[in-house]
Amino acid sequence: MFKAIVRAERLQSTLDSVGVLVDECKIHLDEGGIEIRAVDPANVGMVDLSLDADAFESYEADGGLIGVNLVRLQDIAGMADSDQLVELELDEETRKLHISIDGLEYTLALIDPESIREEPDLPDLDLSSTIVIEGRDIDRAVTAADMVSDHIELGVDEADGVFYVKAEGDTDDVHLELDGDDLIDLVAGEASSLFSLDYLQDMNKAIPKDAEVTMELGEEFPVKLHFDIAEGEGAVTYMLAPRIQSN
Amino acid sequence: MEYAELVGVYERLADTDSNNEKRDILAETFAEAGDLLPLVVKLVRGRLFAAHQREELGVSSSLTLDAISKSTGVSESALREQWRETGDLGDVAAWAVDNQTQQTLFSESLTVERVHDSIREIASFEGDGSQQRRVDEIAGLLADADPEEARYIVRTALGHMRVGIGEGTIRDAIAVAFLDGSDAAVDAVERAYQVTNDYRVVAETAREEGRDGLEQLDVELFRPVQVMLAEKGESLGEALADAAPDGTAVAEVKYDGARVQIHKHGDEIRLFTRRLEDITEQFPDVVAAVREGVTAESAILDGELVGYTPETVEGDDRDPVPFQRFSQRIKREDGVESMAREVPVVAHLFDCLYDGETLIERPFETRIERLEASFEDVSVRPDEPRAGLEHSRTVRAEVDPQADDEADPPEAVTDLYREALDAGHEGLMIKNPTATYQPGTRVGRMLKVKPTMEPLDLVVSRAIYSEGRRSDWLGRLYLACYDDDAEEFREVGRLSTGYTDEELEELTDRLEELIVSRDGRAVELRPEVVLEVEYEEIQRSEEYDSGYALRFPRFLRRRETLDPTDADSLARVERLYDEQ
Repeated sequence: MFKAIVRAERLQSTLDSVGVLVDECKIHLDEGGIEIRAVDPANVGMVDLSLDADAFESYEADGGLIGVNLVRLQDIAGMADSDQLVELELDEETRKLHISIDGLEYTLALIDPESIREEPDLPDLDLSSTIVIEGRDIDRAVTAADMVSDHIELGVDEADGVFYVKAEGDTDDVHLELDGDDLIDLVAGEASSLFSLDYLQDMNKAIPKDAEVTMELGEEFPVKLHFDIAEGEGAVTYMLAPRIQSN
Repeated sequence: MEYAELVGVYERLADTDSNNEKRDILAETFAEAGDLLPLVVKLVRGRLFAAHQREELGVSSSLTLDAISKSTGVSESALREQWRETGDLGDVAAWAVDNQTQQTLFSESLTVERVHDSIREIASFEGDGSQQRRVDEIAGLLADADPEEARYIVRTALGHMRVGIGEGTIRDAIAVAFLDGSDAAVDAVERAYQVTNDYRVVAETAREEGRDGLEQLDVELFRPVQVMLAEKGESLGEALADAAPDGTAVAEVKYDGARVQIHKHGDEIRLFTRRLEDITEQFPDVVAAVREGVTAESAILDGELVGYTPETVEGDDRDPVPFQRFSQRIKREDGVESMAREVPVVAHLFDCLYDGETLIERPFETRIERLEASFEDVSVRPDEPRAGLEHSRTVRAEVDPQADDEADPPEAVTDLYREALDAGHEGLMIKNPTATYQPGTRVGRMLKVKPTMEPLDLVVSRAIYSEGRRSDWLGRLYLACYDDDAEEFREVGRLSTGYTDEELEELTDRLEELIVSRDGRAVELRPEVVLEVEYEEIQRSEEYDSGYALRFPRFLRRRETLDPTDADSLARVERLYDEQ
């Protein structure tokens, strides 16, 4: 059983933060809220999202699992104005999701969850640095780096206590340093890893500019980006594998 | 079974040139395959679908490059550079995985089932975003692959394994793995394959039920049988002598269309091409005619579909449309009905393989009788649209087996030959009335006779490197004739067959000296090399600047003594077109 009402904007941003990595996903409809975990086809980027029941205007579920075509569902959700209410109801018999937006009824055929690739466990990583940073600073760094290169180095200089971003292109370079005063918080350890901007750009799109993002970094290790959504009633964690540093 | 294990088999196969060794490697692999035997039989040749299953993978080179780039982080320009050097995307994938710049969060080892299921699934993607899903599916496999696995995943997706396995090797390996490997065992496997067209069925049957089981395998409705092929007869006289050792031959009009195998059981009707592709959807008019005219409850009939102009198709003096025009019907997916009205067809039937029981072991004479008993003529109605259904024009001829080749053929045969050519058909088929139906083989029981066109001397203007085994060589050559008036060369077609490896290698060495510019694997050439080329027919074409195209051109030899301007002229091509 699943029946919920949610503000369109909230649904849209939830779907968008998963949609940047995959086209279809499984959604767990638990009593306390929904949970989505997905990894992109090349095993490079991963998302783990939860949205509590309290984030919905109303919410009833008893622990089901559905598979959805995310692209389709994003299109439907996009039909609504941001403050409109979207009603979702699962028909267990037909395995279809009924969506209604101010009189507009849409019936979405679901995908067999078995046919969607298995959800991986979050790798347990020991990352040396933790940087708490505003979403808009990530946006600045990623946007500037994308002008010169297709990859970006994220690192922490333990001695100087700064978080830095570097992108080196064929002709132009971008460099950004943020110290303890510029950041919300910094637990400095030696860290430096190189990442694909393609992926980071996509993840950046889903990070609200005013969000407080907790970034965990290591030495040639994946990066973790954690932030709250829905005014604290939901959370997203992205994980991105590094590129191999050429020497 | 780990995919790496199968990759080990591919590598051993690629490492040896000996067919016996290849056979033994395969036999060992088949014997140990257990439940995975049907999968392994398919995967060793990289064919995931039987020819008559309509699925197509739809994996292109550029899509593959996307997937490799996505999973390894190597830029597409670097991949294209490698591709130019090696000519094989499998090798490019192996190189990219070896030099990858992107790490992954997790990796799982690949199993044979996962690789098979993923690649097969690609065929089921349709509509919006299906290209992206194909890229993702292949990228997902490559993300978990080591370099050697990546090489064969890509080759499987593209359908070229490059391990030198033909159908003959599979056949022999099945005979060795599950039977005694004798000639008789090989024959039993061969026969079983000819009637089933499916080595998965053959391999499992050989393993479970041995040679007796194989002999029980038979022609089955809706599983197309390989068609019997004709040899080329040098002349009418010779063909008659070859096909009629007992003094009688059957001569039939050889129509210029597409071979069709019609399967019918009750209301269910399916049509297959000579290459065993299902074309039922493209020919609703033929389905209607079969429903109307085939009276047998079940039947497999062999014939030729010919397209005629709508104005003439209902009369006695029908005008066939050029093959090119007709072939649009085979490729057509939209507007099938209106196309059926524009290019109405007649199915000319000439053989019956099944009419409730299999007939392939019966003599041709009996099969013709059964054919005639199984259907009634249907007249063509382009408006409905409904195709025509009729027996091929046929005569029986008594031939003196002692007569030499030069003797005049019986008048009935020469009359039919002239009639066929006058009506715009290809020539005649000469058949032995006692011969059984031999699927998939050219045996001297059936000969085609038709006038051949004079060869042309043409200049090579551009070329493209081949794919697959011959990828180091310029195997696709654009041919041009000489336009005296404009003093320029005009292209008339593209050649890609007829040369031996040796000839092609030599030709490539010579052509590479003439390269003016390169674009990927295509090169512009100084027009200097002249080749003698034979072909079936000259057609009108907008694809080439001469306005003509050669149909089925084949390489004969290089004309080293000719200057490019000695090549045949555009005027001559025009004249040959008018005369044919």
